[in-house]
Amino acid sequence: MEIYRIPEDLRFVNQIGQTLSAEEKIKLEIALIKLGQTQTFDQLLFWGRIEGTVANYYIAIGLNFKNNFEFPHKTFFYTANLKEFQNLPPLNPEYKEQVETFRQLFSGQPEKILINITGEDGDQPPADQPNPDEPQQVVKNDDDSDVEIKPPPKNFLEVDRLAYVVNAIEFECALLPVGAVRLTPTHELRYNDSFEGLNLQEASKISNYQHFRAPQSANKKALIAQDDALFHYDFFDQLDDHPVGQWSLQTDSSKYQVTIRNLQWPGFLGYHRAGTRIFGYAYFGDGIKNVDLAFQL
Amino acid sequence: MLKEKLQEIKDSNTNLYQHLNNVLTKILLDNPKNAFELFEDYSFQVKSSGFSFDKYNEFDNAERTKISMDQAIQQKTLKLVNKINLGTDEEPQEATQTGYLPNLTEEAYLYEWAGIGIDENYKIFKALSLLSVTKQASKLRFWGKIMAREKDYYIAEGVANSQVEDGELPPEVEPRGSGVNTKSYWACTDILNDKDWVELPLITPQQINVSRQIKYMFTGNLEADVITNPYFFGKEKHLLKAQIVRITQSTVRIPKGQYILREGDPREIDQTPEYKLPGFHELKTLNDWMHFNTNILNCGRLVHLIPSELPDGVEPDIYQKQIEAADPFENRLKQLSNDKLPNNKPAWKIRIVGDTTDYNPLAKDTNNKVNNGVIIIKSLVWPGLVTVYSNKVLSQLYYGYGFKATTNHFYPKQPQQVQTEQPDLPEQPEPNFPAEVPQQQQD
Repeated sequence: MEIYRIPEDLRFVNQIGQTLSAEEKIKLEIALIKLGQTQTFDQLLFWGRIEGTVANYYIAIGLNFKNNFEFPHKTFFYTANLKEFQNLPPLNPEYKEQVETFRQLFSGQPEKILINITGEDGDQPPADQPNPDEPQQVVKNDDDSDVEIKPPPKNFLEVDRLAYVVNAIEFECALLPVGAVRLTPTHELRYNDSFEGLNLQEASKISNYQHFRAPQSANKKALIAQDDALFHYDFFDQLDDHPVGQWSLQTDSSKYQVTIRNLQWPGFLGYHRAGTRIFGYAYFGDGIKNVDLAFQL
Repeated sequence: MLKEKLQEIKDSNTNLYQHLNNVLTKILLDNPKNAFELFEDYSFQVKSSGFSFDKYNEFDNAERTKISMDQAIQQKTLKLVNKINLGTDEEPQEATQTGYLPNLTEEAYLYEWAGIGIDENYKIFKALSLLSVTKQASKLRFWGKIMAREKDYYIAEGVANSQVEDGELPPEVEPRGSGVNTKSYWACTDILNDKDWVELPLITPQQINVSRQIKYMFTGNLEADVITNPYFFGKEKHLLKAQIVRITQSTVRIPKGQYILREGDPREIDQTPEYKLPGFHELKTLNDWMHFNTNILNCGRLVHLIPSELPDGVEPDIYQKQIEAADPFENRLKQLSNDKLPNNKPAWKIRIVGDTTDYNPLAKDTNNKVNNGVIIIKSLVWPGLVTVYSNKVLSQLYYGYGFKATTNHFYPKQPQQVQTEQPDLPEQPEPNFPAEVPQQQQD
């Protein structure tokens, strides 16, 4: 969601019953502008809000289009108190399966420990992990040129779970109308200035929207690598249909304002106003995946 | 020489020389800052729009997108927003009496503090007032919105016109006006169409019990079949009503002390005499709120069913005690702070937002200070259920998909094993009776 258009674009988010209060809007705008001053991005967007029991997380995403081949670089930021945005920690693939089983709500305290490894709180650390109280083990290689130091095991904090959830939602859900972006001759991504929006009929077809991520399917990868890719607009993956019916495209009563919701991540929506250049996506929810969807359809 | 060469390379409408002319003219006219990056764009645009530099005065550079709306939608929207007119355009007929309807636009402002945005709240409000007039429903309020796969449901809650006939009901179904069927609910998917409000039907205890065991995503079509295991006997409108009733029965909240238990019959409540809604500071914790409705029993009703024919030798009183012991009532008016989720976490989330300074009131003789703070209570059992309270206005709303929060994964019950057929009995030879001459050879 573009920062200067947050008040207007919230009207799309209202369709799933969410909004930002007046206090949240003011504080969020100030925090985002502060973030934009310290770090330079081609574009800074407001990604969404994840609700917790004690406090909420507000997420921003910074995009860098220039000098990135084929897909912009995305950087995520979060804040729980709307004062200052901080970087989201990098993903640790070790805990991927465990995180997917977490079904309780976020609490809003980023430092909360979710998986305990170092043995605080009286838990026994697993036997194969080094005891953090002992001095660091230094394993030397044969020729003594490299010294390998085992890093101390870290607890899995709530902010790590937040990083997983945000990245997962962005990967599975972020979307754009076809035609909104195009490639330059040097295969960098840019917004398409001559994009005038989908018309009414096109806007209500889900095939006219595509993922906003580096293409994963084989034919799209081949398409984007071609030299004439800059004349095509549909070089991103089509919206997945596994499980079938996970996307729900609806409009408001004027039929003009289209929202595309994802039922696996209830709270995600992509939006577009037909006939204009207004489009975007956001997530307003509790950050829990609806894994029972396959049984519900 | 170059000019002729370029003019030779041609397409159906124009040649390359002409095209380069047009592109350069357009760029000069527009004078964009990043012309280099947009060069291919201009070429594409000129080709598709047929811009030509000798006719550039007539060319509409901006190509404003025309805003248009379907005629029918325009008319319907205007009709909805204007004053209620039950007759036709030539003979307007005013609505005489409308039942009570809380002002949704004012309440929408409170919900905004809670982070809940009611889309198109004025249109919903007008649609509800139209419903109140056409169906003669009283005590109407906007219950909320249940999102579904193809279209969302807007739900209204109220008391239906008492002249509706239901016909014969089976004994275990609580009749309209009592038990789980106390209030009536209307669902609508298109608020512009005033005929779209459909009253949801009465539900049976069996339907409530099955709805507790399944997890279903609504489609948006009230007449759709619900295919689940265990099988839900009914269409989507029955399941919708069952979920709505379950949500309402377990989550309506009132400030502590507004109702008291009736003496002698602790399951009934009366309004506390001379009760005034408390100010802001008295309602800040979960202890200050309590449940209003009774819970639904395990059998799917609000009140136990005493069958008219009891087994021999059992007194009615003892029978009643027996079934009550098996399926106990919960205490009426229990406090919210006692509710817990299965993993022992609190079931409610209470927050205070907004401006919480105490202001002195305008009139000098009262001691009550004015406080504009908003108290928000969100349910963690039925995510999407919100109660807001501010300045003596209490309101409740549901915005969600219609199912409970679950900590475990949902596995549908396996269908029962198909029993094997009984093996056929081995065939026996027909018994051979000694030849009996049939006796009916007489004429």
